[in-house]
Amino acid sequence: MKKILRDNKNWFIGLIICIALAVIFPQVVKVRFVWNLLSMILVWSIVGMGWNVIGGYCGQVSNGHSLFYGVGAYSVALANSYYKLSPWIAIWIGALISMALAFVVGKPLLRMKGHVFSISTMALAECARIIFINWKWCGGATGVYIYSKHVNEWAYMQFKNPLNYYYVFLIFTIAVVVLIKCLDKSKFFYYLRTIKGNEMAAESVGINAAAYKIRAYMLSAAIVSIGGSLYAQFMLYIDPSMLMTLNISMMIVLTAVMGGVGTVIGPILGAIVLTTISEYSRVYLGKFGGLDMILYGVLVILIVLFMPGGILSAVEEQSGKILAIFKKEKPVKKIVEQ
Amino acid sequence: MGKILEIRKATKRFGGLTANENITFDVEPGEIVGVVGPNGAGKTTLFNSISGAHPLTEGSVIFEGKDITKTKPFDICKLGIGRTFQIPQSLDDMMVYENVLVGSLCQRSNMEEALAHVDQVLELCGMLEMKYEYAGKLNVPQKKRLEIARAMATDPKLLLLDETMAGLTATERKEAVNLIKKINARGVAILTIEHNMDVVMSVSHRVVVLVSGKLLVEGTPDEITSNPEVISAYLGGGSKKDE
Repeated sequence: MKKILRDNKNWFIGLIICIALAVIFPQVVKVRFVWNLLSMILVWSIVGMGWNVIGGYCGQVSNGHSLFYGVGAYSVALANSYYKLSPWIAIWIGALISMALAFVVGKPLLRMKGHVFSISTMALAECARIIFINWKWCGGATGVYIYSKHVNEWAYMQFKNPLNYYYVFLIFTIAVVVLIKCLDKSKFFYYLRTIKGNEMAAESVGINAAAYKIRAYMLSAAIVSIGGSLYAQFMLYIDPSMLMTLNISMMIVLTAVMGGVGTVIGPILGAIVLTTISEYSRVYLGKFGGLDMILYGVLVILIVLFMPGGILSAVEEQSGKILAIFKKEKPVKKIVEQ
Repeated sequence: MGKILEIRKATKRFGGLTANENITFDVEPGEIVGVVGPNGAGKTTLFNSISGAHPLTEGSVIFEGKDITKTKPFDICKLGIGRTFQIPQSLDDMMVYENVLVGSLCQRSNMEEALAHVDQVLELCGMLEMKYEYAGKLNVPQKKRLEIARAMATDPKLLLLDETMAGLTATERKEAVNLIKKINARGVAILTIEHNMDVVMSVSHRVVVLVSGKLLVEGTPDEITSNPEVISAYLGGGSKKDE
């Protein structure tokens, strides 16, 4: 840990600056809509980073991560309605359930490669949605209410002020970013990248590909599940059609892919851009019946078209060009000084 | 010292096709053994069987006295058999040192140790100056060298080289031969598949000739080149002998 801090001093300084900005921003912009938007960005950041572990680093494109999103959400909702359990505990139970589920379904699913894996995960999430719609104990199609008037706000994570959600989510997001950053240059993630690059080569250098894929899938599921739990607390009401649709699965993939697959902060950038576009277009164009979705779609196409490597790589490319200009100037200055 | 690798009556069938039949030979520690044979003789199949990618149908592979016939590829690597592929399987999105690093991490968990080891391996293979190059940008000879570097990073006792010289120019071949000799000087036994007879004969201590999946003869390079059976089966009536 110390070594990671030492090696990535600039990165962590950057992170602290970003955190400071994130803390101050809602105090400056006092608009309820913006606060809600920021909270949603954080939820999508967590979910995107979670998907990135298996989809980005390990290259196993899962199109069914809404399953774990839903499991996380249902865990806090059901724990609250049946056992009056605080979400602070239920989040972790949900993450464990998601990990166990990922282990069980991952064993057969991860044996499949490429498109077949993607389609199977998609089918799996769809099955889960149908099960939850018909499962009376889980509230069925009517869903589950989490909100109750007479509980302690902080103990049950049910805030009247949306800003509190934002700060709580921010802590979770920071935790996940730091976790991913620490793993980024670890043996585990190098092995995942190797599996993504070439599974045969991976096995030839002593990597048990099946075992590492399962571990990545479990970690990914746990992080996405935490995101789902936070979302449920934010909405205080859940039903299967807002959690486990193909739409959500695609949004999860899109967040990471647009930001930059296999990068630490890519999914956060993706979440910022996508959530902002989708929320604003919904507010301003939603009244024109579907125009918001058209605009959203067009913008997504444009971003993919002009930044095929993701937003992060496009930013890096541009900043690289700017840096190159500075580098060119430097030797000239030296000559003048001499 | 005992034998490092023993292949006993190795037979591999793919459905009705018999790719390897009843092959038996050994590799001594520190030895370079060349495997030669015309196309389709079953050389790569034999390699895949040794490295665990396609386990044998019958017979056994014994590494340092341990039967590894049914062992998985990643466990075989951990035991100390490194391999390269005929078609380079480099990790193109990763830098050269990262390609080697994943091999190095096989025997060590400490990142700093592994990175230091990567430098040593790159130096051995003469790739230190390309350390931060992306593997996808390398040309074929460089990629083949990277294959060897990655396999060497796993600290093998036995290295399986699958046609590392194919498609190289004469100078590049010479470099590769030197590299193989350097690796061998470190005490690593090498089993190599090669098409180019000059290379096999100059580098190998012993040569095994496979024809149509069967072992034809086994012996020193001199014995092989003067064996009439080999000449007719592989070298084509001795025309190549004069070259």
